[in-house]
Amino acid sequence: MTDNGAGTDTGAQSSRITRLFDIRLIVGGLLTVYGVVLLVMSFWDSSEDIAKGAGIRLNLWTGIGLLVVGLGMLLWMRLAPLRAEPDRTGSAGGPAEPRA
Amino acid sequence: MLRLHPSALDIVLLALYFLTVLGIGFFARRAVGTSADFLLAGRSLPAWITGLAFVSANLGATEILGMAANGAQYGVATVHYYWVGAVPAMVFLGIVMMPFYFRAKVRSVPEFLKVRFNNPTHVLNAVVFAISAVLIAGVNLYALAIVLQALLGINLYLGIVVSAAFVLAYIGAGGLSSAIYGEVLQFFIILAGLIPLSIAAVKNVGGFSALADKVTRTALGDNGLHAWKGTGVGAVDPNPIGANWIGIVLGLGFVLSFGYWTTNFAEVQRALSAKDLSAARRTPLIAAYPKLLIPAVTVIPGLVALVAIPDFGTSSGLTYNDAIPALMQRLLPSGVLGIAITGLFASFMAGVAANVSSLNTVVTYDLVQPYLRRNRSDSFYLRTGRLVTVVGIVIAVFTAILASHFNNIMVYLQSLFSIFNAPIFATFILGMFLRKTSAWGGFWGLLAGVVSGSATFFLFQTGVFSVASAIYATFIQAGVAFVVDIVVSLVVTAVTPKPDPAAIADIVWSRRNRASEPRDPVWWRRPVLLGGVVLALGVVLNVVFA
Repeated sequence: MTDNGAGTDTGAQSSRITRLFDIRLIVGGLLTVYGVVLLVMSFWDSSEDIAKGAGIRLNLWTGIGLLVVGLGMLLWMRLAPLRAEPDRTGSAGGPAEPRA
Repeated sequence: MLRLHPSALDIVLLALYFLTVLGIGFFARRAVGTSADFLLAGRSLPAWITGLAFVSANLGATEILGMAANGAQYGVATVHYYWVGAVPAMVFLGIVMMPFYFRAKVRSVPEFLKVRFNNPTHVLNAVVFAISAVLIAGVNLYALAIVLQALLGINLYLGIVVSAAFVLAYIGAGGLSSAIYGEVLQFFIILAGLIPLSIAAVKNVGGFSALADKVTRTALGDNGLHAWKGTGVGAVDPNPIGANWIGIVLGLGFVLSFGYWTTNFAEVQRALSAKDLSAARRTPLIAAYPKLLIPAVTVIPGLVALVAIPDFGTSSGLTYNDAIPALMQRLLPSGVLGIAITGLFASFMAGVAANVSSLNTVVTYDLVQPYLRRNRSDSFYLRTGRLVTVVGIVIAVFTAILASHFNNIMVYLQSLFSIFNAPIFATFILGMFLRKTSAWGGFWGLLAGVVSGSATFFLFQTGVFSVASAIYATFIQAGVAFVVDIVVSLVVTAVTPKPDPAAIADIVWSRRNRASEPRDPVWWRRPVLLGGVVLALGVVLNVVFA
């Protein structure tokens, strides 16, 4: 007898998976923070740091890249938010996903 | 391994990551109400998340450091592990096998064997998997502690215990959702460290053509730049990978890789946690695209390390495994260095978490619930899941400590268990596509495959058999296990009662079942399209780097 995810069951518990937060917030948030930190750090990059990185300003470019991805993810979350579905008993309910 | 000298800023970046992961565990805990929430993430996740988790769960640091080491040791042919040894199997899982798992309405890979064959087969697979999951979790913990010790000077045992406690905290709280969310985060962090490293590494040696030129002047020679050149049978000038194309395609590409990617529950669990069949099918397909490109950030640094670092890979210099840490030390300024270190830790962490999260599901749903403690309430099984998480991590800690004293044994055990993927795959294929395979055929075939694989393995280890390269030896071991499984399954099937056709009608291949699969309305979600494109890209890459 298999138990397919959310729904009614013996015992008092019911599924709470619909409360799961949006990971895009965390990923976007952390990457943005990292990006800002690296960008700020890059202003202090000494010439030997830059020479070490084969002449590329690694902190600067990585910071920019992380910022772009982080903000992009937050923007995606803004544009296509998770919508909480009404609880459906007996089915594998979960956060409604707008696409993909 | 060599010492890195992270600055205070780098440590802060690392600490931020750890806090974030703990936060994921803390907030994911709110979403756990049933055992299915904890063990299966409620089977509710969107495909992009499960897809990234799928590729990430395999992107442990042993994979990253190891592939860079292989790049330095074997050259460009290392890409076979990705383009031949992973992507086709991932596509097969998504397009062909997922519908079987769903039609059988199973929550885990071993459970499929219960539905298709019988309980002994179920238990055999579940137990073998559980042991291997704990083993791999322990090895990852040990490897993580080694890195902590070597790179940052932290005591080995302290490193093991603290890392284990950390994983326990976030997996024990939020279960599979925590693990999967952690894997998604890890994916981005790893790339954030490796991409700058690879770019700087190539620039450091003067660009791609300079790198290629320098590689040809190492022991790898010109074949070191080619994936297929020198892999003809009995080639006069052999490719450094030491195997011919038959061994590569059939051994690595078919038996070993299909076995791992299609039946290893640590991976398949990520697909089964998706919100519906379409998302589950797309999970490994979505994962295949980054998988095609990962060699760019592992194999290339390996080659750079080989040409740029004096005495690399020799007894007087650094070991092959030091490729990425050595480049990190040489090239990365404080800042990006912190990100790269965080990426390494993230990947080790996820290697432990993926195995622990699949372990607790298999033990709870495949051993405790059907056999050991039947008919209890769901909250009992939820508590069981949490308890298994604790016990599993404790055992993994002991395994890690054992590994520190008997490292060679751990390597043997890991290699041994990877051989088992081959007979498991054989049994699944027989179960899915050969209607008449009987229950006892399934069991005895699987057992025979496991035993013969082990026997062949030990014969190679003790030197009774030997071949040119370790990779080729693994292909042979897996091949023997695969073939023996099939032969014994068919023989036993011939002399045991056939399965009841009605009972298995839904879960074996048939034209009716195939026709009843729902068509995805959106064209870019069609599994065949997604899978076809990634396979075509793989072929193109193979041709370009042949």
